[in-house]
Amino acid sequence: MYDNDAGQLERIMRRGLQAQTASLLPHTDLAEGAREGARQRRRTRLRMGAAAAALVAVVVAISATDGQSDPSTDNRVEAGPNRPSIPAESLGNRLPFDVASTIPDGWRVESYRGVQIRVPPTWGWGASPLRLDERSRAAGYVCGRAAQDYPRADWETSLGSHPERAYVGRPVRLGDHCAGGNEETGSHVWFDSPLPAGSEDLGDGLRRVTVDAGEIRVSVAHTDSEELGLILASLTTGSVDGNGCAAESHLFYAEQPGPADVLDLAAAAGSGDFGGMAVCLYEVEVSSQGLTYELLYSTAVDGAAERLFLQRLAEPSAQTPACDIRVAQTVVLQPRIAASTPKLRVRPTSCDFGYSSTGRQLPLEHVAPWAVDGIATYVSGAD
Amino acid sequence: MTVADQEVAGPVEFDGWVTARAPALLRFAYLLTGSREAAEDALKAALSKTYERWSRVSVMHDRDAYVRRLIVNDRISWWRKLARQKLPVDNAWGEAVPPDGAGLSLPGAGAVWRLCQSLPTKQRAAVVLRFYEGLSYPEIADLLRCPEPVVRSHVHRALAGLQDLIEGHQARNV
Repeated sequence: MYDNDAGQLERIMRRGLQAQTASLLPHTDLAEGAREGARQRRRTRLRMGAAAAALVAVVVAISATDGQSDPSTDNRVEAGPNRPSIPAESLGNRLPFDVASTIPDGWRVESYRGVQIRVPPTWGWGASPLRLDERSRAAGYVCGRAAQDYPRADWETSLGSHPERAYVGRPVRLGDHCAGGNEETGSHVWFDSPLPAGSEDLGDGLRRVTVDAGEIRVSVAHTDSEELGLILASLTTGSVDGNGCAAESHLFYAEQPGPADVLDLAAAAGSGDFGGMAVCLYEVEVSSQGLTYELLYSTAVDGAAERLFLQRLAEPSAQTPACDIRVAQTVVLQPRIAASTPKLRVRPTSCDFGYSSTGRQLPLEHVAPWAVDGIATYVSGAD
Repeated sequence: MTVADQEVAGPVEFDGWVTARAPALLRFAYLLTGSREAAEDALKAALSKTYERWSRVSVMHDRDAYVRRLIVNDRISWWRKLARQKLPVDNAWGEAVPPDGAGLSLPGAGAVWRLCQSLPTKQRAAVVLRFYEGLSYPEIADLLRCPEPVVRSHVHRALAGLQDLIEGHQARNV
């Protein structure tokens, strides 16, 4: 019989592997390929952020409603941003029109349902006018400047009135105290604006332009005509936004690894392999086609925050679960680890991950690394 | 010593380094991925990231280790996405190579290769790093970011699988 000799087995293994690769040589110029790959990655980051998120590698997602839909698994891959038509006359002669390439670094991405715009980093988050009466498109303003939030160091929201600050509004109800109507006198962006397309002068140097973009209208008002032009020039539509979040999804893949696989992946990664994490907030809509997840808001955290979050997630916590997300909302977290983009879905109501009722609940220390920017403004509690 | 600790070598030029090291790195990627096409894709992706960080990587003593880690991480992520494909080892004998004086039929490169392909990605990486790259257990543990006993266990179980393969074949040929 064959002698059980470890050295013999090792030699067989070594020879076998060496023989298998003996004649293998590169076919292509790998150095040039690496440079081109790096250029593409840089362009992708600059233009569409993490568009690679559409290439779903690992998906962790469970619907607390029926498990049939998952915004993280949309297979409609980004086909490149489209630029809505903006009538030059609506901008006035003072405004630069072809300024897409001059949008300042540091301006952040704001998107809503496939429509993306970029604004200065100091702008806050608030509400667009809601139509209290559908028969009158402009009637019934809700919130507006009465409730906004602004970039801050901690994660907690502090909705309040900040008349001196510009903001980006979405059609959400931020509080009952806002009802009654507020007319704007300062700079703002309104997604899903109820106003007709066109340009208007609001006085005191404030000019507002409303344009069609995708399936909605967007109003941009600013006292600075140059920045107004830059914001309008940044307006694009697409199926994946600059933070890497899909605009909408109907699909769901049944076979998905659990959070433990993502944590294994993170544990094996070096610090440089954490590419930052997209944070995508969806609203769930019920239609004849089933559940549809529409992107309400997105942001992104850097690799350090991503790594901190995954490290904390891997550890048991004695804290009480902190989340309280409304049933009609879902947050999808998309870490970028090495070359992969796993996705974690925070379930509604209990703010936990995982399958069915087996997910783990998240205490504050697990939420804090990603509940940044406008998340606290737009994530609403259980009804 | 970790990869991050190795930033003490003199910088080298990217193209020259790729030209010199690409064949070896491609062979490593091939053993890990199981196909030439996947190996070239994995290597291109790893080199692309390496190029972006070349100012740091170029001064590392063991630049290969950095690229190997990228390839391994990339492969693990793909493995998690795709269903693991296990090849039947019963029929995976392949050509025999001359035995080392034992006068017995031993598995050839094809058999070892198919056995290797049947292993989970991390275990396969441990085997390739140990027997192809010749790394020590601590070096493999550092590269795979897992405890050294786990690496030893991966390698031991792979060798046990090889032994089972041999004994099974010999039993059928008695």
